[in-house]
Amino acid sequence: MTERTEHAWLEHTAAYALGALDEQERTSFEAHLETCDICRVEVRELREVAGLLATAAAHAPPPPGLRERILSDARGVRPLSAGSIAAGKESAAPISTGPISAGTISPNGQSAIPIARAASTLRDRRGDAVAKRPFGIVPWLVAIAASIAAVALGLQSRGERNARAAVEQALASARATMDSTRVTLARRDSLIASLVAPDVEAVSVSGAGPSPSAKYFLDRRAGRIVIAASSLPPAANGRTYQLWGIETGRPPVSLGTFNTDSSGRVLTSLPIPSGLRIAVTAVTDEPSGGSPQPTTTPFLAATWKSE
Amino acid sequence: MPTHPAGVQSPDSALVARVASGDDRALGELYDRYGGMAFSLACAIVGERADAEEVVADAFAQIWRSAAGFDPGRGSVAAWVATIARTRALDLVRSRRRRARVLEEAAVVTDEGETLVLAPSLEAPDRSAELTDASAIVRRSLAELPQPQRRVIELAYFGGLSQSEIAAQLSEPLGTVKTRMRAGMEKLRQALRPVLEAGA
Repeated sequence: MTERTEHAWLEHTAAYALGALDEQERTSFEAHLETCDICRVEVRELREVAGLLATAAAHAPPPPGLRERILSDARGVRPLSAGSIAAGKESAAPISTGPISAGTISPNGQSAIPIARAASTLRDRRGDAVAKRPFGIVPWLVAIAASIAAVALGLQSRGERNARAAVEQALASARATMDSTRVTLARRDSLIASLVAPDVEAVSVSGAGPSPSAKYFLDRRAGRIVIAASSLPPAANGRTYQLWGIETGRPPVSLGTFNTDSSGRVLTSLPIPSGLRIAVTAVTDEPSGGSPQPTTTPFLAATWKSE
Repeated sequence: MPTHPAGVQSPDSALVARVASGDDRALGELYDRYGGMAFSLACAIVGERADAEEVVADAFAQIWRSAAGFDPGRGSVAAWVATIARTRALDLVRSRRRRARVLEEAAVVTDEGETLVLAPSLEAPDRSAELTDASAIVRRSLAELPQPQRRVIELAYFGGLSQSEIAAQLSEPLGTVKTRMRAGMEKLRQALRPVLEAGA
């Protein structure tokens, strides 16, 4: 079981950020994204790259009336429209949670509140027109009361939707966490089994001074060897550590590659090819992916009693 | 198009929070910052200005309704606006059973392989000003990609095609399309790192 540094899902990140994954790949990749920080970070950055592509479009000045059209459309979908709320329509309109000023009320033709329509000659320019017009305060109070009711209704339905979405999301993420925990636990169980099995042989090796040290646990019956190394700096870029098992009078056999973390430690369990009667184990520094035979001087060498 | 709001303006995310609270002046400010980008993008995808106007109006209506759902953890406001505008534009193209402009190959690719839906990479007469302009850097980075890589990225982003649709469109193996897309996006990411970092 060698440590894999490559991450096959990363092949999908660029296409996903461009929205170009085919349906099936997209579905499975999105499920993976839920559980993978590496891919999420990648996707976030590549989405920004894709977003910048928008700025490469030939510059086309928008028509002058578009801004006002967007703003007046927006005023039309305020939650003031009691009709749409009473009818139980999905009201995703932003809801003002701040103090309700006259300016946030925008009576227009779409309002289902007659009294508000009566006030519709007051265009909603931040309410500064109110004082200048000969309308009494009563229509405004009614409109405000209606809008408070609408806000309450809107908040409730939006709150429920948000709560359900949050629960679903939490559930999905809990499931994913459980799955990955299960895998981690299974790995750990097998590691512990290799450490405590009755006929496991253990050897400690260390060099002089602050040089690397290691403990090996050899479980011949299960065909596994565990290496726990410390003070071993991570292999350089493009390099890896490789563990070798040597049978007396034969060339070394690769037991797999590994690397240490930034604190110079590793704890990993590697399978032993069946039939290999290990007499010596040792580590070498090799190019990424490992070598068929050692190419550098072995270290952390341990000798094992013959079977 | 103001890709780098000056310090005196509120940050994009604060602006979106105001939009989410129902402040239409904030929506106006957001339009002032990104409406031009959205409109240019819509034109590049749908072709007709009148259609692009519908797209941008729809996009900002959606922004208005769904601003509360904006999650800064998932990306910048600019990328969010661009995503919404692009999705709306591609929806419109599909609903009319038309093809995105970038797919009308004969109409949009010049003899030099320059795609006309995109601005020419060397359009700014003043090169020193160009260097500071994010969109010029984006255009130049795109222009510097090998043409086959550039084409698959354009077909995906401006044409809304999936990888297998691109493979069919170009009569290339799917694996080739995937490799080009990944390599091209990786190069773009490297080239655009300064812009991405400035925006972050």
